[in-house]
Amino acid sequence: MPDKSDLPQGTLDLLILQVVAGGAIHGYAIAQRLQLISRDVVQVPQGSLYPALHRLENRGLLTADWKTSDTGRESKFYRLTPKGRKQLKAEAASWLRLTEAIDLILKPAGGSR
Amino acid sequence: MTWWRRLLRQQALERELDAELRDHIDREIADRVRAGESEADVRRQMRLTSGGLDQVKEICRDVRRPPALADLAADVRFAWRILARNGWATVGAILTLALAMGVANTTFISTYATLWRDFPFERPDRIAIMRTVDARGREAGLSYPDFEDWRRDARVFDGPSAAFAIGGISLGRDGAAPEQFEGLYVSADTFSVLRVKPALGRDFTAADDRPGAEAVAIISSNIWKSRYAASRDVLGRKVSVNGAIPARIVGVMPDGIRFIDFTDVWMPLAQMPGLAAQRRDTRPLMMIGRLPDDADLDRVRAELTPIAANLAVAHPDTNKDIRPLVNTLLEAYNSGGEMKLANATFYMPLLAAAFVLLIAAANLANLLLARAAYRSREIAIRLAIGATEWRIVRGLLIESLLLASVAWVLAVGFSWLALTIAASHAAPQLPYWRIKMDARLLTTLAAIALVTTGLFGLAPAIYASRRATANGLKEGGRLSTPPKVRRWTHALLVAQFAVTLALLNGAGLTARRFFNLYALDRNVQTSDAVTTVIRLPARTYATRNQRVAFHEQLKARLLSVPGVTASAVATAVPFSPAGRRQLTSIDGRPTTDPPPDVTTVVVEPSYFQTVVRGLVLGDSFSELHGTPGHEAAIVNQRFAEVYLGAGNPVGRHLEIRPPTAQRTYLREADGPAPPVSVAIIGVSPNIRQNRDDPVPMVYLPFRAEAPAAVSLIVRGSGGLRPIVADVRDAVNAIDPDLALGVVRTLDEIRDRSRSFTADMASQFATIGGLALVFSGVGLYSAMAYAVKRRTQEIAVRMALGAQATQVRWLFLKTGAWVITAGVILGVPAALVVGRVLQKTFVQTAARDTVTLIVTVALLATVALVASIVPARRATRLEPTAALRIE
Repeated sequence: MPDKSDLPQGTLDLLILQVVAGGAIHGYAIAQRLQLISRDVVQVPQGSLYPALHRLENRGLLTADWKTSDTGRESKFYRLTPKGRKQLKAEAASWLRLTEAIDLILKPAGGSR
Repeated sequence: MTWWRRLLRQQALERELDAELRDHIDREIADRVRAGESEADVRRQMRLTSGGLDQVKEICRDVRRPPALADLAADVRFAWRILARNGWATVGAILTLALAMGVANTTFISTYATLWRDFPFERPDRIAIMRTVDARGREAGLSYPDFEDWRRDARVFDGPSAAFAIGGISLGRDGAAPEQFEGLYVSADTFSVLRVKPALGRDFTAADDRPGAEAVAIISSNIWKSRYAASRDVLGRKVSVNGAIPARIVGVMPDGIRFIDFTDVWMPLAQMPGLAAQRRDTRPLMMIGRLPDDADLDRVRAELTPIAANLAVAHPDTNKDIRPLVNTLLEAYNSGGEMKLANATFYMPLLAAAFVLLIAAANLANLLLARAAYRSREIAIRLAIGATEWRIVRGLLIESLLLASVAWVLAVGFSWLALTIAASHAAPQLPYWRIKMDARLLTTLAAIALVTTGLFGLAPAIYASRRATANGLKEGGRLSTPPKVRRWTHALLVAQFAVTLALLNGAGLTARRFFNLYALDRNVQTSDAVTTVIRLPARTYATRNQRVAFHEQLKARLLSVPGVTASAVATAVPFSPAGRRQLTSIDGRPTTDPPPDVTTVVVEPSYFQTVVRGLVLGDSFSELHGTPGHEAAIVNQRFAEVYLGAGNPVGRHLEIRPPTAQRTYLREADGPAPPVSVAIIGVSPNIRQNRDDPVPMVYLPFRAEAPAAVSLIVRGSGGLRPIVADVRDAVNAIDPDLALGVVRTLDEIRDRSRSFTADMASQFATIGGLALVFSGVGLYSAMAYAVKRRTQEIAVRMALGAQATQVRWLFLKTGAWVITAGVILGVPAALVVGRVLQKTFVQTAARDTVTLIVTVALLATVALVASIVPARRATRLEPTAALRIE
């Protein structure tokens, strides 16, 4: 099992928003999706995931409904609100800017790796 | 959102949260079982890694709840727990504050009700009332001729101006028995200035107020109900007024309108006896007028001053130096005139109540300060594990708020109770006197409670945040009180002691004063005596001989009634206001200029057996005295001291002149009497008359002038009710239209005259007693707390061999120090209070050594006991047990 990395503060919200942007999805699936896409680097325990979801819902970035899923089970499905979509755009852009900047700093000047 | 909907929503959220988390777990288990793991293994692993469902839920709840509110609820719960844990101390603090606030509130409300009475008229603050004042600053009314001039020339008023004069009015037989009432003669426009209309019938018209017009009267709803059974056909009824003129009742006033004072009958001014011939220096009238919106009292003064000046020039012998005195009706009633002197006395209980409030606040402060030291460790710990300072301050503020609000609610309850009891007991002695709770006052009290508790409640927070956290934790281990806090505590205790000393001393002085009244009152025989007022109408009893004949006849009839043992008449009964005359010369030598006023009572010879207990010197009047050639007087001891110096007063000669025309609006003037030269034949003991302390008095024989209005005093056995009936029968057998005045027993009159001093003494006693208890409790709790705090130290000392007395002294030292410093500060404060009391209450000694010593001894004893009891407890501790106590 590959090393798990601690997520930098605040990035979990961004990742959740990104995943939910793909369509209505319940909590367990969000965790699964994150783990899958990150190739097991990002593993979110319940204790972090649900507070984050509820926080985002509380701030009006996500909205949720109870729906019967494919397996016939009642689950709470989260969707992005317009406000959440805007927030995702802004945060993603700022994240990209930041990582580019960090990349620049970490790369040796003018040289190749 | 109502609370239950919020609750329902909360429950729904809880259910959703639970379902969501279970869904997650079920899905994960299902996935992993599908991948080949056993369900039991998965469950166990999940419990290990996720740290339990409850914790997750709690974090999620925190996300949902607005944090400030969640903390607030927790803080309130915490504050409540802290207060409840210190049960007795909290109860003590709350009760102290509540009692003090209750007393302050009650005192203030009754004082306010006395000082600031409201009239049931439209805008009483816009009604100007005009009187006069002479060069010596003495207040009087106006004469009718002056009123006519003022009314004609003053144009400032909104609408007409009016005038009225006080006079007793009696109604004769008209189905009901003849009765005397407080009456008012009013000019036709009086009620339109007041903007009052009769509830029934009509107001007076200008035609009613002309000389020779038919006599008409308006009655109060009071006597409409009591005398006429609220019957509507009272209008138009004829009733004989003052034993002579038949008057027609034309109106009934609405409930509560008894202008002025307790007036029950109003008649037009033109009906006032002697009005047409009134001299300018007889001044029974008061004038009123409405202020227009753009004018103030200064405009009225500016207009009246030249008018009065012109009159002074035109009539120098009567109007020289007579200036207008202008107030609003509200002012005149509430602070102007006669009330001015009394005001200072009213403020004394208020001040005392404020000081008790201060003492209570000091107690509370001490409690909270002591706790501050105690809690600095708790606060340091909370700061260390990450509480913000704001959170701690807020917690302490919530505690204070809880204390304050509980105390406030109790205080309102206390004073409501006190006022209800007071209101049910006492009939109003002042007109327009109403006791009611005052919203502004309750708000002020709430503010006081909040400031007190808030200020001292915050001390721990300030104290804790000033010290480094580590320090707090270190020191906390030993629970020591930092010296700064101790200094504050001691300063507050000393201040409390000093204030209590001053208050108690004041209470002692007023109580002594009260008992002094008792001593003086022994000179009057009050038991089994009824008094009433008899006013012989001038039309039927025009001459002195007629009046003397009436009273001789009455006396004979009364004394023939079985059970009646004595009767006497006097122009004033003891304990009540009496007339004054000028003492112009003694033994032919003129007195000062202007001559001094001496209290004068005209009495029958039997007065000195029936009412006053005998004479100190000489003889009483005989039936001969007062006839030409037998002019005589009896003076009281005070008169002899003040005016006659050493030597036998009997046989000295005085010259006495009739009352000055001033002041006559307060009471009806005695009939004009010529100056008399009299020889002193006896000296009477001092009694209370006019004032609470003995004043120089001269008694003159009844036969000399036989005044029309006198008080009748009848003593008899066999119950007062039958005697009153006998008196009424005897009077009406002679004159069926003659009304008795208010009937009172002499005991009742004496008690009424004492009521002001009694109220004052009881108010002071209550306040002083509370102050004593509060400072005792304050000292006790401070000492008890100190003992508790130093238990360990005491145990160590005792274990190492310290004697019980040494340990006790450790604590008594503080008590002794507080007492010493308290006495040093308190005695001068007590003297100041004594001086103020003396200024307001004539005849209280400013420094009364006995009272002061008793006060100091009492207070010191209480303080000693308050410090000995905890100190003894300290020495009774079992060292091993004490060491284990933290």
